[in-house]
Amino acid sequence: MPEALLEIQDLVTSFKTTSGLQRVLDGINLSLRRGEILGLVGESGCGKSITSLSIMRLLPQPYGFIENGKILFNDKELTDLSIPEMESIRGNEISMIFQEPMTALNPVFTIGNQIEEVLDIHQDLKKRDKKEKCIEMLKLVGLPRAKDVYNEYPHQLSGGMRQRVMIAMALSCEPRLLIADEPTTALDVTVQIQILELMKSLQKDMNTSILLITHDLGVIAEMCDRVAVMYLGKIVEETTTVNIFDNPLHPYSQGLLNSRLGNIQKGEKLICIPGMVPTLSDKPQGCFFSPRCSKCIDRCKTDMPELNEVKPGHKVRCWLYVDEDY
Amino acid sequence: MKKKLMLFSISFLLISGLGFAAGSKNVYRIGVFHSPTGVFHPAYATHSYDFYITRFVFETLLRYGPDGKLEPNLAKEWSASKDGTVFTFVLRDGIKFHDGTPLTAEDVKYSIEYVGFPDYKGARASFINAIKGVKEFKAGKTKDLKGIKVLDKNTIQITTEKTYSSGFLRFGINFEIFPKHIWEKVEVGKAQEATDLMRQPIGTGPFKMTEYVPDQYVTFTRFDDYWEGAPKLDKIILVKTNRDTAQAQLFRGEIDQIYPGSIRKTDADQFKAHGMVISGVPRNAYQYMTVNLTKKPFQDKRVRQAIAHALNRKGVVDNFLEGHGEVSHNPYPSTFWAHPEGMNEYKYSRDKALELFKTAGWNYDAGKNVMYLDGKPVRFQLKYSKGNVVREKCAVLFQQNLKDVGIKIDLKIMEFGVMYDEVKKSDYEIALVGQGSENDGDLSKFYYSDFIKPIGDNSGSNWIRYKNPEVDRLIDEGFRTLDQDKRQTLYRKIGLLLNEELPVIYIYHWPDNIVFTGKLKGRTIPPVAAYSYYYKANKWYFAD
Amino acid sequence: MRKYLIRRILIIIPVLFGVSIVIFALIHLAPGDPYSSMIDPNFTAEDRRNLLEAIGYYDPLPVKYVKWLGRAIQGDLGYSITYKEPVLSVILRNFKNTVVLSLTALALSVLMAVPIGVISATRKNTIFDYVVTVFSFIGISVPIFFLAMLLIKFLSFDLGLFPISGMQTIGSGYSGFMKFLDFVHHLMLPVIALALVQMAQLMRYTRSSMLEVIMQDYIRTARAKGLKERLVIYKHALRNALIPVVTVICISIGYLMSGAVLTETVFVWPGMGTLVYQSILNRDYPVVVSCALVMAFFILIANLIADILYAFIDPRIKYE
Repeated sequence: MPEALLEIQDLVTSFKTTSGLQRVLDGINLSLRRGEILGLVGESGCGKSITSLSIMRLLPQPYGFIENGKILFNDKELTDLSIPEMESIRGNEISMIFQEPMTALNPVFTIGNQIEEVLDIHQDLKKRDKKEKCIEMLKLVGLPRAKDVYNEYPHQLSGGMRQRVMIAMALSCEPRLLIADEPTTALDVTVQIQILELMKSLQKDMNTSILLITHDLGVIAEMCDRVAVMYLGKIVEETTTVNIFDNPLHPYSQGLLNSRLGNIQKGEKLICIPGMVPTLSDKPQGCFFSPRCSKCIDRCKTDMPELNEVKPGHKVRCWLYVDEDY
Repeated sequence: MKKKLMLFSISFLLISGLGFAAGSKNVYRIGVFHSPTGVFHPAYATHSYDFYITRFVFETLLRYGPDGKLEPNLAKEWSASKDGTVFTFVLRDGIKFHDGTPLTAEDVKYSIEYVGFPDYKGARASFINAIKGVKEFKAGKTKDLKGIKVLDKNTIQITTEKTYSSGFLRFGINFEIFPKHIWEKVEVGKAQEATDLMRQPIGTGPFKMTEYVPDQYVTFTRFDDYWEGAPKLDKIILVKTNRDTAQAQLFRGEIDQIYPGSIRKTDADQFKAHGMVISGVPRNAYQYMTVNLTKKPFQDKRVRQAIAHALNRKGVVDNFLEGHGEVSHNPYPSTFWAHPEGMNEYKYSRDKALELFKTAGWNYDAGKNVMYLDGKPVRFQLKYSKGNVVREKCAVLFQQNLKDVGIKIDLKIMEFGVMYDEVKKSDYEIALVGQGSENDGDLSKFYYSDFIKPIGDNSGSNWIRYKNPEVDRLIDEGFRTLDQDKRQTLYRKIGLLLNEELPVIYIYHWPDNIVFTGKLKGRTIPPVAAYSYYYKANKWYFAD
Repeated sequence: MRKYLIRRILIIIPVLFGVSIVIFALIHLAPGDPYSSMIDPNFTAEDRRNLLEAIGYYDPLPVKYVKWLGRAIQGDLGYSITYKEPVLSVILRNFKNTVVLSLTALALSVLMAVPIGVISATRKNTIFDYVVTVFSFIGISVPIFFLAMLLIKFLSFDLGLFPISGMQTIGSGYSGFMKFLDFVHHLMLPVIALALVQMAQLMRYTRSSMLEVIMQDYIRTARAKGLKERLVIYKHALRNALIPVVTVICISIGYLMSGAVLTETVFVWPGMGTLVYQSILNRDYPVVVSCALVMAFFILIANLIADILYAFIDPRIKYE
């Protein structure tokens, strides 16, 4: 089995607010292997983005902090690193692209300037080589007028083009891990597909691992090797993509799959998961999902289940799959 | 970087130190709150701040002495014919202008008739109206004013149409003498555009003006050939200062003199503590409340007397002026030679006021504290202007005083020029104004019925529109005699009449205060405000 | 861009024209005249009438305007009634003083306010930030003449570090370099007073602009690239935050040319502010109208330069 590139163990991330400490990530466990695409899926507010920000240690200051847990990347313990050490990893060994390409680039610097900046930070290239590399990256991400784009400003490009630029920027130092936080959510459907295709092909060429965060199961199906499902700061299921679609175990995963629009016939009622996601300060007793779960049993209301591997390569956090005598 | 900082700090300290040492020994600095405007020509100056210059650089034939009476200045002798129509002045010998040219009677004639030239566009055309031949001269029919004759190099004779009782005052004090040889070269109609010439005035005074920086300062330097003796001071400088910081500058030695306006006791104590001399120069003027004589309620003199009793005029002098002034009962202050004895002081008495209102037919309701006239509650608007702190306080005080007798007063504060205009047109009910009088005692401008213009016309000088045949008669008599004693009797009579009639309610007289450093010696200040500030400035010196 | 520039410059002419008409009408319609405050008993009504006739006071308003306009177009702004001096020379003299005072104060306030505002934003809610905020509020609320008087009391009167007022030491006879130093010495206190008040506004403005920019997504991107925090702030954030600040400074220069009447009055620094104020009180019509034109002109120019500058430093802005 290929070794884990990234291993997150019991990560607890909290926020200092005026109403006290809010625990956003409540013990996250994840592992990502070299060359694999891991999807992280869940509803808005479940903590997906915070997970990625925690890895990068880019939590909003001074509110967010990692309370507990380990993040092992390439034999390094990220939570122990100093700021300069983290800075040399960001953009270099771990890169990140974000959801809103329209606002992710600095409007007063040219595209070339912004991509070259990454190269300046982490590599020592001569001016001409930098420019060459930059244009090469732009071509690589499918921008035909690479030389022109090099001199243009972000506002002169469309959303799709800007996201390509972001990808170019993120990959220019050949990172081992790319974290993509909802990279296509803000784009048109047609552009979405292009970007996803691009990411897939680049990933294959560079053998980069991708942590792909999304709420769209279609994207998961298209892109990911494995997928982890998050609910209210906890991973509730983790398995291969094939498994999650063929045989979702956790009631929440089942609910998600059922609420996809693709399977609905005209005239049928839309299926949705009853209730709403509780706020962080109102986390339910026992299993977080219990109030909304159609298969809830008594134990669910009092105890939180562990994330167990109930089948090879398939972990789930649910009492339904635990044979235990009381 | 450090070196530059050091250099800067040293120069800074040096300058701070130097700045104060530069109050150099023989320079006298006078702080003024408004800057002269640069019109330094006696025939054209209209702003009082320009008079600071024209009355210093130029001189008049006569001047006021320490006893308040006229004494020789450029003229060593003066006399008039028995019928008061021919005035003769004899100049001293050896008087020089600042450019070295000797002063002659030709300069005197030119300076007086100048305002009669047909192209003259200044403010003093009326000053020569009494002189014979003035109409023809102003119409351009004669080349010069025939009523003024140069008898010889030092003697000048002026003939008037009728007896001119103000003759010595008018010709002796109101005309500063300027050099003919300079100004006859300039076209009269264009004289006001000769800015450079205007701002380099050549006169006969003890100091010549050597530098004028608009809105900042004016420098006068000693004139060694001055006829009364070379000055002891090197320079006198008029410095523009800000009213709020002038006192601080005085105490810090940045300036040596200020005209502070009204002085409070705390100010007076401070001044004395810093070694300053306070000099209160009597001023022939008065502050008063005018009630519109064209409106029926105010035409009854009992009403006006009632108002006088209702106002706490003594309180104004005691509290607002802190004793620097006196209550006024007629136009003449007690320091003036025409001041009458035995006047009614209209002491502050609410009872007396109510009594008089009653006799005039006004009804006072004690229960409601409301005064009624013809069945309606009495209510007037009082107009006054910004800029005089004491007067502003008076407005508020009088509002209260009149409220105490049931009269409601609405205060309206206005810009001076605007208010004055409305008041002169008779567009007001009550107003607070100040008035200066002629130093020869003549009150005609303000009280003579010939000078009344119709309502709405602001050009009549008797704008309170007061008509009293007895006053007119006394004024006419005063015009016809040059005998000082006779005139004193006449004017005293007028004073008493006005005190009885109260065409305006007289409030207070006040002195012009000068505060200056005790280090200045040799200074005498005649008791005639505005004409005595530079009296014998050539004798001033610093004691050290 | 060129078409835009030409259009903007051409528009100045009708605007100035409009300003001249409005100000001309307003000041002439105000009650009173240049000689209404003449109360010396020696001057008669006839004398006053002569004076007013000499300045064309009795002409009907449109005639006055046309006469004035005819000369103004040829560059003759007329004669000051108060100073009996060409208006242009009066204005130039005061304008020079205002320029020195205002620009020095502006330079000082910018040099201090921008860095402090930036640091305040990066250290939001620390003691430094709170102190700066309190100071800003004091600076915005305290009337400038009060501040000026306080400065004079403590720094000039009590400590003797600065002169109390004026532009130079009277009667000193300084020349050359000493005269220059003396001038600078007198300039300092009014500059400090003006700068303190301007700083307060500018600090808050810079701070809030900076705070807004730091919230932006592209700042997060910069950090995600591994950029040192110092560069994130001073390269990525500052560049964006300064765009509105620069234009605000530029526009305020236009207003500064109108003078600061309260400061100028307290420190006896004859500038445009005191000139306009006094001229209105004196009803010195030609000076009032010309001053209004000068002020309008500079405000228009400053706005134009601000807009052009904006286009230069923000690549998103383009003018047709």
